[in-house]
This record gives sequence, structure tokens and C-alpha cells, in this order.
Amino acid sequence: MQRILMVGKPNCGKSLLFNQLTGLRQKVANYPGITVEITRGKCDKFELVDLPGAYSLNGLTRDEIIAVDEIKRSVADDDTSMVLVVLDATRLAQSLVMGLQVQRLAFEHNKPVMFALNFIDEVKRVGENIDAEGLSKALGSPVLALSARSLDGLHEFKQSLLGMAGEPERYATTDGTAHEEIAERSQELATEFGIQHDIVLKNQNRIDNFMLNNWTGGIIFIAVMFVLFQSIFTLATPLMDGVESFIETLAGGVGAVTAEGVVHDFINDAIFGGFGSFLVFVPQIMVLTLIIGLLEDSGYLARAALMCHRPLSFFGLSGRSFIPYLSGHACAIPAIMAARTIESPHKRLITMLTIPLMSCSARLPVYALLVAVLVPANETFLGIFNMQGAAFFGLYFFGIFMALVVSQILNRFLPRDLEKTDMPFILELPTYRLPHWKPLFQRVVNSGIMFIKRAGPIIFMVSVGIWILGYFPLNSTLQDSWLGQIGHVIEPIFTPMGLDWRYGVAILMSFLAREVFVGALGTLFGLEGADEDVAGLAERVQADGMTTEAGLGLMLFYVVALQCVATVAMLKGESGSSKLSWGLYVAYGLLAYVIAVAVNQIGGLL
Amino acid sequence: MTLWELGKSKSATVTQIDASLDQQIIARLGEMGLSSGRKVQCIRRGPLGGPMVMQLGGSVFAMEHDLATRIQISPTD
Repeated sequence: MQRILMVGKPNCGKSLLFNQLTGLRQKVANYPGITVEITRGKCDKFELVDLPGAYSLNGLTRDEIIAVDEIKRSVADDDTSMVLVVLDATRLAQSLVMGLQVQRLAFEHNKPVMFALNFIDEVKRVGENIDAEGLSKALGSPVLALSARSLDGLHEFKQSLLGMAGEPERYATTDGTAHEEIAERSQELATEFGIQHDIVLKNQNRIDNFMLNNWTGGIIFIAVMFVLFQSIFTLATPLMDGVESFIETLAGGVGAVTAEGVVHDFINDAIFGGFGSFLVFVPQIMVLTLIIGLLEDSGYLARAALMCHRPLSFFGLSGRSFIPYLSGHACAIPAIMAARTIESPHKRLITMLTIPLMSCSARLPVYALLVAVLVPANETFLGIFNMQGAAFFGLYFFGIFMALVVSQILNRFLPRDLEKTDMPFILELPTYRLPHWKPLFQRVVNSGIMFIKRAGPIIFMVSVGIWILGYFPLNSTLQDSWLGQIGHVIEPIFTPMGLDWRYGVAILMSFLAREVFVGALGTLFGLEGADEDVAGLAERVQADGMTTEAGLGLMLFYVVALQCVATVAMLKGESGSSKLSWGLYVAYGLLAYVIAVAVNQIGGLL
Repeated sequence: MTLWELGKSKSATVTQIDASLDQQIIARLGEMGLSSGRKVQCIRRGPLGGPMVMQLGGSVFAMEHDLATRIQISPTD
């Protein structure tokens, strides 16, 4: 199938235009090695490819470099009929820099170019207009004004696009603008054809006076973060329960038709119990993606990053570290990818190495169990805060605190790669806009699919491996199984933490994927289906006599330890160093152990 | 005077960009519309030495102290 490529700067409304042209059915390609999310969809008889956004073909940050490589590769491809460049009509000079660079690149490969002048509704709203025909003559390629949101001019645009893609050879390709002249030329064109900026930017600057103000800005920031963390729980919990009961029903159905025996046990415990319990986290990742998407599309996220820049620089991080840290509270894997936008390689590395300290959703069941064991359910602090809720908050806070401490240490001792220059912090503050549901919806669905694709295979293998160790030799109890035997050997390691071999085995198992802990402990306490019944398991653990100090130590252990093979694999891919990634795995494990032992020992003395 | 010293709501013309900066950075600044002869306006100053926000051509950017001090400007009224 012949292809139409879509390129443009960030915030030019490319995703929404893509959605309007293709509908909601699309495929996200996930390239092995370095992952670039490229969305493909069908538009008439052509395949429309939405390439990642960039400000310039001279990429500075890692995400830009990857995007640019992909743009260059795709433009050169024989199957590409033409290139569609999306321009932001309200920010013409900025969009034309990228536009002219892409036009030149396309012409070098004999591919015609069409420009879509997006957000024309916003231009008209302030009583201005843009001479698309004049701009078209000046650029030497067709320019069509439209609004992907209000649908102004979209129909005509689609007809012209399909007409051009059908007969690309009819369109002239010249030399385009020389590279040295592009910056100058885009300014000239913007002055000639663009609109009075002050009118458009006046609103934005007025809102920013409020959003970035030292007082009101700070209060808004805290309020937004509060709502965000609240909704991770309140919005995701019913969805997670839904997934859980669906898996249970499915397991029940399959269990009923398989005969008793090894196969039955395998399907029930390894597939549904192990792999199934991992699917429960998917809704939470989707909810967080939705909220972050809302913040990003509205333009607020850039402001949050700006406000955090100064405080985070103190710890050797960048304002851009804020977004990966935030996503890290759902899952470290997309968060590590999000760190690509960080301008300085040194800061990017520190951010990636500390993301695993953010309390991701896989820690939730572990926290839920231990908080239920240690904190009475109905107690309140000062009569307002639910104590269990406060305990959760404390654990999240401890993770962030540790991340900042570790960042500070890494900043001091991590050798700087002198080959790579540190890029300064420059951030565009986009126009405030009401987010459109279509691209958001697409992003949320993709986040779920991507998470399953990336982490699924490893979790599946771990579940199977653990099941084999716990099940054999045949007809043995868990105590006598291979796993139980290992447990007794390693017990002395866990004694200083105030824990016996059962916890030891559960912790050891969870070193590949931490969410395994609750299920494993449940099985070890002889409780069927512990994943579904945290409260029942909590009572058992309480009755078993877990001390407060051992429990607290164990909770902090789970905040710090990097128990996720999928994260290590991701770190390895992004940092290019296997030694560093596994080193971090061991280092966080040891740090977690030291903290847990210290808490248990000191607590025992008090 | 440097860009960093530009007060809130004040405008200036860029006169010179520190040539010892990385070529890639100078090129990117040029693409953003920040090169000799261009007009820049300070929108706001961050607290505690945080990044300043400025308007350049039709866009608004935030820039940190270390870079802003390496850009020379001459203020216009």
C-alpha cells in the first residue's frame, strides 16, 4: 500500500488531524530495540503514518534524534508517495522551521509535499486570516487551511490530499530552501503571512500570570497533583476489580472443563493466578495515561515542568524529569521511555536510574496487604485523615524522598560523559487548549496494549518458573517442594529483618516481579486465591505474629527494592549498559535490605 | 547586558550569542528565532533563579539561567 507520511512540530494538532482522517481504527508499531511509537491508519486507499513530532531535523534530545532518524528513513522509503507537513497557523515561524526542513528532505527524495495549516479556527476567532494561496506560492507546495477540531476545511483538504497522493508524479519537486537559510526564511514567511502574535498570546500570558504565579501557581500545582493521585485510586479501583472478576470467571470456566491434575493446576495457578494477576494493573496504567494526557494536551504539563525545574536542578535533575517521575507512579517502563525528552544526557541518566523508586502500581497490592496488617482500618489521624490512607501517602512520599537523595548522590559521583555536551533547558510553553477526546482515547488504549506487550512475556515466564519450583517434586507439600527447600537454605538472610522462611521465599520470588509477593505469601500461608482476598491474608499474617518493626521494615523494603525484570531490561535498552542496569538492581536490593534490617533492629530496641 | 537581566515585560534586541556555546545549541536557538537582530520580550521571571519565560516571534519559551546569561541584548525602551 502507498503511504502518506505526517510530520510536524509538537503541539501542532497532528494527532487529532490523523484521527479525523483515519477514524479510530489504527495500529501502533513498536520497533524492537529503540521504541518509537508510530501510529498507522487507513485513509481511503492509502496508509497514513503519524511520525513522532520534532522541532527540527537537527535533533537535540534523545526523543528528537530517534524521531528524526525515523522521519529520514520513512521519507526515503520507496512506498512513500508524499509527505504531509502539519503547521500550527498560530505559531507559523516555529512550524515553518521544521516544515521547510522536511520539504527540502522530501524534495531530495523526489517526494511531493503538502502543507496543512491547522488551527485556522483560532486564527479566525481573533479576527485574522492567513493567505493560504500566497503562502502556497511562496513555498512551492500546496497549502490548505483547516481546523482538525472544528472540522473547517477538512473535507476539501482530504480531497486534495488524496488527489495528490494518487498522482504524486504530477507535482514538482525542486531544491527547496537551503539549510542555512531555513531559520531566516521561516521568519520572513511568518512576518509576511502570519498573524499578529500579541493578540493570540495575550490570553495565554494572562492565564500564565495565574498558573505560574509564585503563590496561586504553587497552590494549583499541589491541587492538580492531589487530584491526580486521588484518581489513580478512585478511578482505577472499580476497573481493577472488574478485570479481576473477569479473570476469576474465566479461570473458573476453564478450570471446570479441564481434568484434575498437573495441567489443571498449571492453568489455574501459573496462567490465571500468576499472569492473570499482572493484568489487574493495566487499568491503573490507563487511568494515569489519561490524566497525564489531559494535562499534556491542555498545555499544563509544560508549566508544571517549568515550575519544577529549579527545585529539581538542586538534586541534579531537570524540570523535564517531572513527567517521567509522574508516570513512574503507574509503571517504570513507560516512564523510562518518557525520560528521552530530557535535554541533558547526564540528567536523563540520573532520572532513569531513580524512576524505579517511584511507587508503581505493582507495589500497590504489597502495600495494601502490609498496611492492612499494621494499621487498624477505622483509625483516623486528627479526626480527618484515614490512617491507612495516610500510611499509603507516607510510602509514596518515602519513594520520592529516596529518589531525590539517590539523585543527589548520583549527580555527585556518576562520571559525566564528556563526549556528550549538556543541552540547556529550553521549553516551549504551548497554547492552552481544551483536550480533544479522540487522540486521548487512542493514547489510553495504546498504553494498555504496550504495557502488556512489553512486560507480559517476562511476567509469564516468571509465573511459569515459580510454579514449577513450587509444584515439584510431584505430590509434595510446599514445605518439601524445591521452592520450600530453597526457602530453608536462605532463611538466615531474612532473620535480621525479623521474618521467617515463608517471607524469604515470597521476597525471593518477587525479585523478578514484585507483584508476585502477595500471591506467593498467600500460597505459603495455605490460603487459596490470596490475590483476591488481601483482608483474609492480612488477618492470617497478623495472627501469625508479625511485629510492627518487621512489618514497617518490609514495607520500606518494597519501596526501595528494584524487583522487576522488565524494568531492568528497559533500563538496559535505554542506557545501553547491562552492567549499570544489573548493578542498579543489586544496589537497590542491598539498600532495601539494609533499610529493612535497620528499621527492624532499631525498632526492636525501642 | 545579558538576556537574564531583562526585566519583566521589557523588550530587547539580541546583539550577540556566546560563540563558545555548542554549535548545535546555537543552531537550535537560531531556529527558535533567537539570533542577532531578533526581538525578544520577557514575559515573567521565575522565583529563586528559576527559568525565565520569554516571547520570541510567535512562540513562548522558558529558558534557564546558564543559557540566558550567555546571550547579549540591547534593551529597546
